[in-house]
Amino acid sequence: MIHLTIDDEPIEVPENRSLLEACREHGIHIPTLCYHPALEPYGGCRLCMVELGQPGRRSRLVASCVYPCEEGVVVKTNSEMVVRSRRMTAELILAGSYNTPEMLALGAELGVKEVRFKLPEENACVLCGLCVRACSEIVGVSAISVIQRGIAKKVATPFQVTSSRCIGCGTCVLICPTGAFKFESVAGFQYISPSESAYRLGYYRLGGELDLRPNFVQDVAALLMSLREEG
Amino acid sequence: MGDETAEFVPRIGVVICDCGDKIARVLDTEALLQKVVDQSGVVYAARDTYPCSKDGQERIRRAIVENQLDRVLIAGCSPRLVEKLFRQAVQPAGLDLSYLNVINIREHVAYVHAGDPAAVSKANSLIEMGTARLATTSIAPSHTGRVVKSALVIGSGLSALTVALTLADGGVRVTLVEQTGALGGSVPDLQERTLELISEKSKTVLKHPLIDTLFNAYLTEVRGHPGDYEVRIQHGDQTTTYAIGAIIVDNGAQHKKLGASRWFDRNRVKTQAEFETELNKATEPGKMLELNDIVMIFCADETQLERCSRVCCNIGIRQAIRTKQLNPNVNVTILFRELYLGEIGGAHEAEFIQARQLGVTFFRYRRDRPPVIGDQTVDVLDTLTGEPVRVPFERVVLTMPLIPHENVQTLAALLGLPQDDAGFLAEPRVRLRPGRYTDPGIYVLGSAHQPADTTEALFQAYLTSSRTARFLSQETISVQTPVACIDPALCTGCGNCPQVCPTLAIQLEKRDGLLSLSDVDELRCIGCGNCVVVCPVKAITLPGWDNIEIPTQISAALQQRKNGRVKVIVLACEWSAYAAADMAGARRIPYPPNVRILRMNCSARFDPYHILWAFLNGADGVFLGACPPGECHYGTGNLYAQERVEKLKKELAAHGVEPRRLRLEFLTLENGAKFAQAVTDFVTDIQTDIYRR
Repeated sequence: MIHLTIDDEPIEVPENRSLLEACREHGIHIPTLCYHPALEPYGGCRLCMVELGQPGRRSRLVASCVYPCEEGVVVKTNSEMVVRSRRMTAELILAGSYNTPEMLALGAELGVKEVRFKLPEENACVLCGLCVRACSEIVGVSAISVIQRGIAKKVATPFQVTSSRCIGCGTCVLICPTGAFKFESVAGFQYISPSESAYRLGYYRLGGELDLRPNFVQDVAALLMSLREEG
Repeated sequence: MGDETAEFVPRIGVVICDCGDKIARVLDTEALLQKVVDQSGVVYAARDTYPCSKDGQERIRRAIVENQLDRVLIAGCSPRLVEKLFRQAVQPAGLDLSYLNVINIREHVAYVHAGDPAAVSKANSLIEMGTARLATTSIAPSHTGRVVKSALVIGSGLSALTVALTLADGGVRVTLVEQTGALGGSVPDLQERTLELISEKSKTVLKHPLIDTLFNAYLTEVRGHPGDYEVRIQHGDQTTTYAIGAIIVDNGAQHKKLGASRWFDRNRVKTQAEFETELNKATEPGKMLELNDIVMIFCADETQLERCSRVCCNIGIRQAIRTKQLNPNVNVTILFRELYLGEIGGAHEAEFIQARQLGVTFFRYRRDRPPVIGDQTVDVLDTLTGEPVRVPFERVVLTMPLIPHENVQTLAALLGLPQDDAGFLAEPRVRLRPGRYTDPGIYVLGSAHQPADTTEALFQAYLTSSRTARFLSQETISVQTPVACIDPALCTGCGNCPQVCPTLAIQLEKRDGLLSLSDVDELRCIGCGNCVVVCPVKAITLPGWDNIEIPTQISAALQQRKNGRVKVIVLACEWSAYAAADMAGARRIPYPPNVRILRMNCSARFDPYHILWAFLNGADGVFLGACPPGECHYGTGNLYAQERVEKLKKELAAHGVEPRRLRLEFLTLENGAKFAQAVTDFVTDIQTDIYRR
């Protein structure tokens, strides 16, 4: 067991827990964007910053989702430094996604009153990487990844053509926190239309010769009988 | 599955997730917990702030051990995100994965019914459905099968020979089936070096101790599953059965015949293959090419405007060079629409430059103004100058597209391979198994897949060899997902199920000398449940989506039906409508709380019997959600669903039920808003219908 102090309260946690997990376990709310319990932590959005004080060192900001709990540290989740850092981060994220309701709500929660910086082009994708990690860790196919560097960084399929690895499960769409994910660009319309003639053949042989009808009638009659007996 | 005994009472544990405060904020989870405790079969119920956290998972494991739970239900967020996490969490506690059920009270309740007093009762009802499913479900056993270390190669073209040799050198026993009496196949790009390569490889193949070559042979039957096929081959007068691990198809392609739809002066108009023979004759000593004006027309067949045959440009340019080298005074004109010079290494590019240096004239023509072959001249509109050009000719050489061999249809039917509109064996049909064909043990390469030149064919051959070798190196292959199982005592051998199976997993077996017993190949079954629906005697079971589980869930959903409030059952395919409902939740798009969503594997499993069961138990409407046509993950399940719904509507009308109360909607997983709208409309429609009465 590791002993540490979070927001002036002494806390005991098992080993191999991150600060974020310890906080959540003790009901301390920390805003996150790139964190998902089903995925490995990523440390990308920097919204989960907390102030970490170690004995004999000046206190500093760390990303709580990737920072492990250590013996004797003092953590503040709501100090002036933390609040300002989060607000600034949220403002910078909002610079590219100033029309996205989810992001505006998050900004409001962190005290952003107005969007000061605006990129010329709006892009709801905030590069949290949830879709990429969900695709590799939950689904296990890795059909998408983050490509390019710096300002050109974006989520795409290899060579930006529709992926043949994609199984069309849609986990990426569901996990996207801002609704930015464009499913078509990944899955595309690569379905080869099933051979309808074969299906027709099978179905009509089935439908024509045997007909589902007698079954229905029998089933309905049997059900009505059983209901009558019960009632 | 011996736990279905009379005394057996399942011990179900329920964990309700608060999701921090995301669920607890809008849904009174404490009140919900009080209701859940009273449910039958539930021996343990708890609330948890974050069951998905490491500590939360530990608490679930402890609860399983301490309360001897044998089934666990977690009511939280979408199973599509966290089911895998919880599976990994409960497995160390000794719980069978079939006995874990994750239901969604976040996206399906908390996010869409905020502030609605009916939210708690909906959540409770969803948990009741979940426990009902857990109480009746059975374990889906995993299936394993052996992998036979042998391969069957169909065809004997360059790629087939290469694959056969590479595999045989790696110690795999290879059976090579050739339809004609000689090895070699067709060489679509008419390259000399290819012919040399083929004759070289043919000699080695015939001598190789591990390669068994069958001439005049063809496939008559394929049974079994990947890794262990039972293949019957007819060669000569006899039929032999082989045990085969992997099947490699390279039956090549052929040039289309000229003049099937149009008349040509065949003395002066030739195809590329015919001109090649002419050139070969002219190269013989003492012979010469007695021609002055040659016009070559590329993309001469209409189909080539849509689909490039990928070898004709190269053949044409090479022939032009040969002609010029034979006699520099011959005028060679090439009329082309687009030039395809793609070869790895750029050899074709160099040939093109050489042809220009030798004085070959190139004219590009437009698709809407094709060249016209006249009596003595060919008329063409040059796109560069925009001027009409008249070229005199003594010989016109036309390119003919590559088309698949006649036997490709038989092969496709035998192996269950999809064909594209030109008849080639196309890329994967089902997106469930991407990068492969439906069957992981079947490989298609060379021009059977799409027209390929020598380099490409060789590349594909080595790639396929390594993939096949990797597949065959496995000791066993196994399937974990639920698959259909047929009770032979009940099966009457009616033949319904083999006809609707999308993967040819069901075959009719002989019983007492008659084809009267269906047999499922567990390793080929993908678990769509279509066979369960069409079985007239209900001899087929599919664990998890069986004829017991689904009706019990429907009954549970309709149990607490209140007067005046309409109740709607939604059968939702998990790839489309269930995902769309998740999406509606994630985007907080509200819809009426009196719908109960049942997660189904595929719309093929929408059983008319279950729909009737819902109506008989007091459902006011049944809403079905399936993937749009062409996007079904199991082939054509949605088309079957549509057909069944149409039939059932007529049946319902005959029995006095408004057909409007049954609706099938095609949705994709992104259609959150459409799902909410469709459900709202459906409920309103039924409500007004009831009030009118």
